[in-house]
Order: sequence, then structure tokens, then C-alpha cells
Amino acid sequence: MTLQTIGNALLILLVIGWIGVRQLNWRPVALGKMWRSPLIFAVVGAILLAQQVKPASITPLDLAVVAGELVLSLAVGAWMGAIAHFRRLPQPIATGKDGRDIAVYESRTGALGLVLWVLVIAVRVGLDVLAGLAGSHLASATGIILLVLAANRLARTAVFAARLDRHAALAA
Amino acid sequence: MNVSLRPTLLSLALTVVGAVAVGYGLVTSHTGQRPVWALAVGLAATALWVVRSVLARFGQRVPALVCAVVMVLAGSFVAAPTNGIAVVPAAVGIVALLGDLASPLWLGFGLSAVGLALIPVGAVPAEASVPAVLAEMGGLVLAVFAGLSRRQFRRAEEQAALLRERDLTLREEESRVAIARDLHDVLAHSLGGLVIQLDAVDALLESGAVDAARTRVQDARGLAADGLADARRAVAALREPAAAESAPVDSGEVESALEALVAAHRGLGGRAELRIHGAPSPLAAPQAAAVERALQEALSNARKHAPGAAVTASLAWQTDRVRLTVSNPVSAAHPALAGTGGGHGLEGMRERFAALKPPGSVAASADGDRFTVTAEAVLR
Repeated sequence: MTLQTIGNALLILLVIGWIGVRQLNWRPVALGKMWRSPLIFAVVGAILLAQQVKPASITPLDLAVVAGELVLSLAVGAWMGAIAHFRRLPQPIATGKDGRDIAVYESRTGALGLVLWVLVIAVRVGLDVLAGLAGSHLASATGIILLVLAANRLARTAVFAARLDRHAALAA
Repeated sequence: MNVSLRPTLLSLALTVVGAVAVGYGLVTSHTGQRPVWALAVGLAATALWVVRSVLARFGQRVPALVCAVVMVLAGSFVAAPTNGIAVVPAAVGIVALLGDLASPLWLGFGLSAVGLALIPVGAVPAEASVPAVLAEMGGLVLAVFAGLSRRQFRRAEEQAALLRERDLTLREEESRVAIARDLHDVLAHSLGGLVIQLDAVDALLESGAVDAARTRVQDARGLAADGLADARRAVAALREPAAAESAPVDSGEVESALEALVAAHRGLGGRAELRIHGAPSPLAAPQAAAVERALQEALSNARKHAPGAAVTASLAWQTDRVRLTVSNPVSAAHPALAGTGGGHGLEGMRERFAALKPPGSVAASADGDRFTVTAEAVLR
């Protein structure tokens, strides 16, 4: 375990903790921002992956582990999106640096969301360990971790968007 | 709308041909390196392809959906061990799921994601090469796009059907309006005339002029008989519009019908004059009816709004059109009514001329102290 790996792990723990805390609080829902951040994660992850991993070293097992993690992450993200509670803000507020994202609703995923979040991390770590024992090391690459995170947020945002659409259609 | 979701016999036949080709490929290629269970699962997925189509053909929606789900899962899992051949039923399943408007979008997307993950999972025991696995996954991604485009197409088809339905409703509404117009023209004219006649009879009887009353009653009977004949004609035209519209009407017939209307107006105590000029030519039945109804309506209106005033009507035959002009002085007592030009009657007249083929036109104007209605039908 190199210093870089420990640094990465700490960074990731920080991000995980930050997201976990945010799940328990009411947060304004700005869909534009919610779409953007997973895309940024994904792009950064892809760049890191391209730098760190040689295509020749990838095995079918690597692909299987990564694909499995991505699907799991998508599924849990969608689940989180489905169990989130919404409530209408007293008045729309502008979020983001230049206030271009208008939030009309706020949401909270709650304790179950936190449990899901811990679960997905536990499964991920377990899978990584098993995969490492079986000879696959791609899944522990930082780029993949970011991609998995992006998949989770993306699925959650997609479900949010669909639910808010329905909300708006019902309200109209 | 569900009918379009059911595969035709041709597409069923194509499915069988495709499934047989895939099955043949599965059985014959690289049999040595492949475990037997992979072959069995691949063949099962391919067989389900046919089963799904048959179920869909007989409207068994849920079992067909289950078949598609199993096809995706099984086909993806053995895609790598079968050198990518089994990705075909998996892709077909995805297209079927995503292309079916009745199955939710999330199911299609979720199953696509699971299928994409199952391909590399199945590749691990088979020790397939990474590029081959990626190509198989690419095939599944293509199927996702194909399914989405199919869904879009079906949605457009559904909307087109909805539009056709609305169009039909609109047409029914139009024909209802046409019936209302005919009813107004026929009934309002003859019943209105009858009321005037009967009022006169009442007054005459009250003053003891029995003979004059008798004449009025005979006039009223004639008017009622005319109205009845008109109503019969209108009903016949509604029953068989094609037969009624195809026969041309002789110009003499039109002119005598107009003369009869003017005579009836005179009989109701009005003053009217009809002038006819130009070279007459035969009219189509709807055109003749429109011209007759226009004069009838104008005379009715004159009786209503300018009782006793002299009405001037003229029928001008021109080379390409026939024009009816009816003009009467505006009664000082009802200037507002004269200015608006009447209610249903004038509107119905306009609709009737606009519905002619080729379309005619109706113009109404209050010019100084005269109110003039001009109706034009274009000759073919």
C-alpha cells in the first residue's frame, strides 16, 4: 500500500462521509447541478483510468468486476432516488456560484439512504478484496472508484428528474 | 393500437428464419472449446426468441415480456462462451423491451445494464479476449439505441392514431352542423310563414271576414305542404348525399323555385320582385339548393326585420358564376338588427356557400338605408 493509495483512500472516505451527511439534511434540488457533478466525476475518472491502466493488462475478470460494480452502483443510486422525500420550498431559490440553477423543491434521502450508501461501499470493498485475490486489480483504481460514484449519482439524478417531472405534471 | 404491437405472419416467419440461423451457428461453431451448458443456455435463449414472438402474436403480453427478460439475461451470460452468437437473442430481447410502450422504460434500461454486466461475467470462465467482450457489449448498446428508436416510432404512430380519431370527431361535428342548418332553413321558413298566416286568419275571423280567412287558410296549407316537401327532400339528401349531389339541376327549375319563393312572400303580405338576367346554365344540386335557401332566408329576414318593405331580388347568370342579390330597405325601427345581418340564417347561408365545390361566397352589407345580401356560386 503506497502513500498515494492511502491519500486516495482518505480523499474518497472524505467524499463518502460528505455525501452521507448531506443525505440526512434537506437539500435544495437543482437538477442542472445534479447532472453536472456526476458527469465531471465520470470525465475525471475516465482520464485517470486512461493514465493509470494499460489496455493490454485488462482481463475479462477486470471487466466483469467493474461492470458488476457499475450496475450495482446504478441500481443503488436509482433506489436512493426512489426513496428520497421531496417537499416544495417556500419560494424558489437560486443555487450555484452565479445563481443559474433554480431550486423549487428540496429533498432528503434519510437514514435508509445512509444505510444504502454504507452498503454499496461495503459491497464495493468486499468485491475489491475478492477480485484482488482472484487477480483483478482494475476495480481498485481511483478512476474506477470515481466512475462508480458517478454512476450512483447519475442514476439518482435520473430518478429525481423523472419523479419531479411527474410531480410537476400532477401539480399543473 | 395493440394490434400494431402484434407481429405479422411475415415478421414471425423472419423470426423463425433468424432463430434457426443463430441456432445453427451455435451448434456448428467452435464446438470443441465450449462447455455444453453454454450451448444449452444459448439454444434456450434462441428458442425463447421464437416463443416470445408467438406469444406476442397471440396477445400474451406478460409471458412475452418474461421471455424477453430471460432472453436478455441468458443471451448476455453466454455471449462470450458462444463467441458472441448468443448476443443476438439478448439484443432482440432488449429491442423488444424498450420498443414496447406498455413496458416501463426503467425496466428496459435496467435490464440493458444488467445484460451489459453479464457479458464480461460470462466471459471470465470462458477466458474470452477483452476486445471480443467489448464488441459484444457494443452490440448490446446498439440494441439499446434500436429499441429506443422503435419506442419513439411507436409513440409517433400512437399519436397519429389519436389525431385520426380527433379528425373523425371533427367531421361528425361538421355533419351535425350541416343537419342543423338544413333543419333551420326548412323548418324556420315554413313554420315562420305559417305563424304569420295563422295570425292573419285569427284577425280575419275576429272581424268576421270568413271568406278572406278561408283563402288565408288555403295559403297556409300550401305553405305547410311546401315545407313538408322541403323537409322530405332534406331528409333524402341526408340519407343519400351522393345521389342527391350528383344530378345537375336545370336552370329553369332553379328559376321557377325562386319565383315560387317570391310568390309565397307576396302571399304572406310582403312586396317582392325577382329579376333574372344573363344566359342560364345548369347548376349542381348543392348549388341550386344553396341559391334557393339563400333567397328563402333573405325573404324570411326581410319579413322579420323590415315587414311590408319592398324586396328586390335579382339573379344574374354570368359566364363563370351565378349571383343572387337580395336587397331591402332597412326599417328604422330595427337599425341594430339590420346592421348585424341576422343570426343563424346568414351564418348558415355563409357555411352553405363555403361548403360548395368550388366554394362560393356570401356578403352582407348595410349600404345607406338598404340592407343587401349577395350570394355567389362559382359555375364549373
